Amino acid sequence: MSKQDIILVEGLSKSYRISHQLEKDTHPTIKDSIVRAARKPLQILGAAGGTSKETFFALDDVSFSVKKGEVVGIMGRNGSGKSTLFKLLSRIAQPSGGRAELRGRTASLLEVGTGFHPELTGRENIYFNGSILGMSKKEIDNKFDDIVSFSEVEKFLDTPIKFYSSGMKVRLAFSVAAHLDPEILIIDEVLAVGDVKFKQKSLKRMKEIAKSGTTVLFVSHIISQIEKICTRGIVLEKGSLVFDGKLDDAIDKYIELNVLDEEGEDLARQNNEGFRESINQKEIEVSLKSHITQGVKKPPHGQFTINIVNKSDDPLDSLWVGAMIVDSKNRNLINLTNADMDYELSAVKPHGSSTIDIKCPQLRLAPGKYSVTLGIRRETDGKMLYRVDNVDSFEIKGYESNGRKLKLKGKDYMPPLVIDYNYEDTSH
Amino acid sequence: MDPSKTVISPKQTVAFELKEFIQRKELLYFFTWRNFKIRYKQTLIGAGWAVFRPFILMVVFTLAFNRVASVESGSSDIPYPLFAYAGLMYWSYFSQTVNQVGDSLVSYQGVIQKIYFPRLMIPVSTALTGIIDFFFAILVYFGLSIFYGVSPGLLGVVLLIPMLLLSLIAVLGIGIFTASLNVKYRDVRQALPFFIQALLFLTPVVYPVELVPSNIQWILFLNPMTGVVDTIQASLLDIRDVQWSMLAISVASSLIILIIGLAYFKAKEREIADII
Repeated sequence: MSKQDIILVEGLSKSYRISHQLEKDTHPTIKDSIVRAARKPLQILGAAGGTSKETFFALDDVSFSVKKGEVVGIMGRNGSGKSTLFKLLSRIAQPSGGRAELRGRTASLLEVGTGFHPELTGRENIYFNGSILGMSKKEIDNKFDDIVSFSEVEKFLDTPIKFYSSGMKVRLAFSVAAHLDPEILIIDEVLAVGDVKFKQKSLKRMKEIAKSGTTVLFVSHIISQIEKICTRGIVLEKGSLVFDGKLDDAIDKYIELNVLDEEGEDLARQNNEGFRESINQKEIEVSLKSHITQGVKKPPHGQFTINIVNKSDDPLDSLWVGAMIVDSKNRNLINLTNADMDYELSAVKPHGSSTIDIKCPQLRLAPGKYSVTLGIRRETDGKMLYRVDNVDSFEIKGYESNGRKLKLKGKDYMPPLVIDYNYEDTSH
Repeated sequence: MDPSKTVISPKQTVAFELKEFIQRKELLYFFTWRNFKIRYKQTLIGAGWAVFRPFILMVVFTLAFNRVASVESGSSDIPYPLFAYAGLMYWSYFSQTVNQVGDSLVSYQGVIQKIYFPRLMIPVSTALTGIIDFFFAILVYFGLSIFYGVSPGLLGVVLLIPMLLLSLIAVLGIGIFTASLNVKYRDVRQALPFFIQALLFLTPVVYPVELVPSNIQWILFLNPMTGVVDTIQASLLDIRDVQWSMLAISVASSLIILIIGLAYFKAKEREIADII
């Protein structure tokens, strides 16, 4: 271990016994049930033979080191082990093998607002949350005013947070986390919270923290977020470390890995089925226009403008709006929903209209033709108001990612991706 | 060595965990404070519940045991309700709190899966929260003793806090053990309240211990709460001398239970976040 290393990870592993995994799964999917049924005869045989242990490595012999002040992005698909690595380094779970050393005051954030209680006031929640994140009471006292002014909830400080809007809660929670001031910060995808304005504010704050010499491990599968903060990337796949190096190369590696395997392909197709086209023309009139701005040197920029006209006498509120980008083989690749962004759309007045812009700064799609499926649902009763396939289509031409042509090893499609996007709406 | 260095490995030493627990004692305070704050939110009589529970139990037992079954307080000078309440205030702390501690790890699972802190803080802070209730209950005892015109024995007043500590040790021992067991087997949640309820009748709370044949009395004292209740009733009400040797059995048994509880917790600790 060199003197400058602030984090050292040596052969870190985490294994689970499969039997535990199945017990734990309280909401088994049909797929799980089939897998279990298929495994059962094996289990019975195994038990008869005296061994029913089946070990699954969520993280398998991972080693790396991080120097003081480095900002490292840890990427990987679902099930790659990145969440497990996060949990081990933040000590939520204990490893089964190997070791790691963190040489400095460490704070880890899996979510913002851990331990927030709805009945407690903003002030009380700041103190408890701060303390559980590792701040002393004196520290919280000192930073209290900064936390409050950053969160913009001064007026409601002594109100139980059950009366807060979801946006206010998130702002308060992030503000506490943003004032932690650790030497090592391990964060999960906590930035994907709040409205657009607050997201930008918190991202700016994260950049400041990263620049101030704090060592940061950022675990995410949202490339555009990692790109904004990190300088080095680590890619995990099936529990093993498959790449460690410059960020640009890591992102390329991650995108290559993301080429669909059979299972993913089925999943993408599944996502796109199960809904029939439906329009309730008495209540609603909807249109969508896509604008793709494309250069050669960087990924395309996409903007989808949705116009909703309310033809009924009642306001249209609590709307769920989802635009799905579907490739030429009818695979649903990207879901852009306001719910995933925690973005509450304002109500459309009776006989009024509303314009919603979904902006995707980096639409990392492979060259090809795509169509957009649009769905609008009322959250209060779950009623689908609108669902139409192929409301608009667009084409992506070849482009360079990080100074080189996107290589996809002969495959002509991209995986279901999680990308960064913003929701904005205006009502008239 | 850097004081803020953290080593993550499959085994953590007891010394390291103890050091960490002490380092973060402020969090223990915040946990206790938070538990207390939220316990009586949205209740009509708030902390009045702390008083209400032993009081109602006392009324019920006075009617059932004293009036119907003619159980006496063990001394003709002492009114039965006062005798019963002295025991019930400790018993209430024990039974309420041990159930809460048993459930504590599961009820904090949302926090346990999201952030690290010494896990032992959860059961310990839950046990401490109950003490706040206990102090409200004690005030009512003094109110009752004025009402009945029975002045509390000096030794009894001195022993109030030590007996509370003995109850705390009993709560921690049983509570920590069951809380760890509850993580994997939620049956505990069903069984524990039932077990505690049954234990009330095996503890001389509402009847004097003399009702039990003297050669087998010591068996009752294996239950730490027997020691607590018998000692308080004897000394606070000045009925007779404290049975120190019997109390010693209760103290020893409570410490053994605590050690077993902690050892089991330590053995299961690493699994908590995985299987909760």
